[in-house]
Amino acid sequence: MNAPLLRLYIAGKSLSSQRAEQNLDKIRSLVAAHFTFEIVDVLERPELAEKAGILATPTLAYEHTERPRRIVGDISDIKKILEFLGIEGKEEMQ
Amino acid sequence: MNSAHLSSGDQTELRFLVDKNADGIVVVDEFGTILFANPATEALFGRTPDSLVGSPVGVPLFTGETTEITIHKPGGDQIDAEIRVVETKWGGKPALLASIRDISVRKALEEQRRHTNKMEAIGRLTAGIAHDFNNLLTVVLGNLEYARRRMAESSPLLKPLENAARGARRAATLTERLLAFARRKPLEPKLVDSNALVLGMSELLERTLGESTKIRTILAEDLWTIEVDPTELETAILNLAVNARDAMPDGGEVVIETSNIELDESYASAEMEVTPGSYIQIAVTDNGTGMAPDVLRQVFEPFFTTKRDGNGTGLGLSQVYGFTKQSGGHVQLYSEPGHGTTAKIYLPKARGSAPVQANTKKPAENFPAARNGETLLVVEDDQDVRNYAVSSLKELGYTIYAAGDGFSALELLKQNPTIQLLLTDLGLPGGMDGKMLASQARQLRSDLKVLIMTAYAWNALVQDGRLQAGVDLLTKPFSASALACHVREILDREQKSALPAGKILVVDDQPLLRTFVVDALASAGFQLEEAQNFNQALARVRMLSAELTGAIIDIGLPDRRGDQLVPEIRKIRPDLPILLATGFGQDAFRSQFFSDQKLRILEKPFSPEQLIDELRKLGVVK
Repeated sequence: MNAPLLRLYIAGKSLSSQRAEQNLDKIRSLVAAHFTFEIVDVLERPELAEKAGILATPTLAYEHTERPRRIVGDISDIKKILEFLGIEGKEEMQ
Repeated sequence: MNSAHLSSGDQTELRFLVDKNADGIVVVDEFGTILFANPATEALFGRTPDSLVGSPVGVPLFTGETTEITIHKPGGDQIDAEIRVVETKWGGKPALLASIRDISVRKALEEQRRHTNKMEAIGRLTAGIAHDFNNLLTVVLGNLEYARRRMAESSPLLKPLENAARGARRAATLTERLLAFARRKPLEPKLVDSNALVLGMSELLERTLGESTKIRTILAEDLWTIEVDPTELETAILNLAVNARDAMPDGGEVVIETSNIELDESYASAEMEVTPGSYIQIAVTDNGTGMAPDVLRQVFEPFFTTKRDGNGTGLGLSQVYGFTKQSGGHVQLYSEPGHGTTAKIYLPKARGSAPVQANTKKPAENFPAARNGETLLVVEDDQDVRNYAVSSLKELGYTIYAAGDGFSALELLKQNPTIQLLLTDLGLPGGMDGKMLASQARQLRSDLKVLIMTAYAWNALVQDGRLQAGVDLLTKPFSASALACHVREILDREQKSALPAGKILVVDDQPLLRTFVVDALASAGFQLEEAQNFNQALARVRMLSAELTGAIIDIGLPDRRGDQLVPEIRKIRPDLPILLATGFGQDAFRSQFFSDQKLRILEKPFSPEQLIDELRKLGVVK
């Protein structure tokens, strides 16, 4: 079975996009083993954003077959995000 | 919004508030699906509130009170928005209420402010470096020239010395450009008819831009007069035109357009640092490669260039930026990659002046005119430029002979001994250039004064060392007033200077600079007194009083500023000729001492010749 996918939609090099990318790196460092990660720049691939119905960026999409979920914003509240996604962090998480 | 606790009247009011709220308000469920959207969301998302309900926007999870997102409208438009979230219940289930505010305008202003601050900071840094460099260059150039004069013509050291001096002079040109960007270049504002100025540049532009670039001008009738430094304005237009050409490697058209424009409050508030009022606009447009937004943001920064090595200094647009700002205007660039660029210079209408009538040439009141019977020879192969020079000088009362090449010029000189000054272009046809003409003419008539006009080839003139004594340079493009002043100054200049008895006081705390000035003046035969600071200088003036024939004062002194010394000296010697030496900020001092006839501002870097020339203008040297 493929590892579930976390896909971050961003818009170019805007400040919030950059912040979201940094936060995604943190999440990746915590749960890298269990997920695959992907970043989609909606300015470069508008068709992907449209297909997924992305209204705003940054948006983090958890492409889970049973319970797909989406988070909008700079995904700075990592602890809540992992909880929300139903992902257990490693012991670094308090 | 826990509706369970509200009466029906409260709910109606609450509904009213939500519906009329300028912020977009959405309620999302715990999976991020929109349950409710108020009418204001339509403008934000470009979709009806009804169609938003059910869309998976996502759960807003972030730390802090607010976060920024970018909303993507159908069709590709974007809005920067700030969201704020509170927990609530909707239909009895936990939900989140997010209020969404459009901050695109605020973000744009912030970005502009940030950019302005950055340009200010770069400007301060640039001015500081240029100022200190000017001081050092004064020392370097002065001493090199001093050494050069004492060197036998046959010395093998002559060439290296000249090379060093040439390098230093180039550095001085560079600091001048940096000062232009930092808005510290001394400007000489005059009433300018920009249409006439643009037309007067057509020859220069055609020659500079080359054949593959066509130039078209669209000039507004009744264009307002502006009060700016005409030479700098010409440089700015030339810089923009050169950029336009370089953006069109396969050739194309550059359009220069002038117009009157009123900038109102709304424009001014959208553009930082713009005062509402009447402006003229000079727009330079090309249909070239254009610039991407990230390039556009940086183009005014000094040394930023997209041109290949050696093709650009990165200081062209910096000059445009510095000049327009310093002149109370501003510059705007509009560019689209693949389509072209328009640069618009806005310069404020001159206060209280009527538009200049195109065809009523007023006698040039402010220009220094000819004295009885003064005769000039103008040599220029380009008919337009020649006509321009001849007619401007004739208007001032000079008797003019004109020639199109060096040989006929020499003939005229032989036939007309009344010719006092030779005004020649550097580039002449027929194998004799302006420089050769000058030296042959001087062999005929050793007292003949020479003014060489040139746009590009400074180096050709100074390559073999300094300019020949008695030869002056007029840099193209020049205004009629620059021409008039230059000619007058040269004619008034006496070849032999008689030194007066008496001492000159040199006040400077930097030993190198002081030594240079003292050496330069001593070798010209002056007697000198030195002071290192304000108090010492004042003591010297009190002690020597009538013995002094002049003072050279640096602005930056350790104890008190040099300009504050002037009123103190004036109490003792109201008529003492004073030279105030400064690296920048001349304008402020110029206006401060505007009414003082016995004071001149000396700009750094200066050569021994300039120093003595300034003393001459003050009457210290006859």
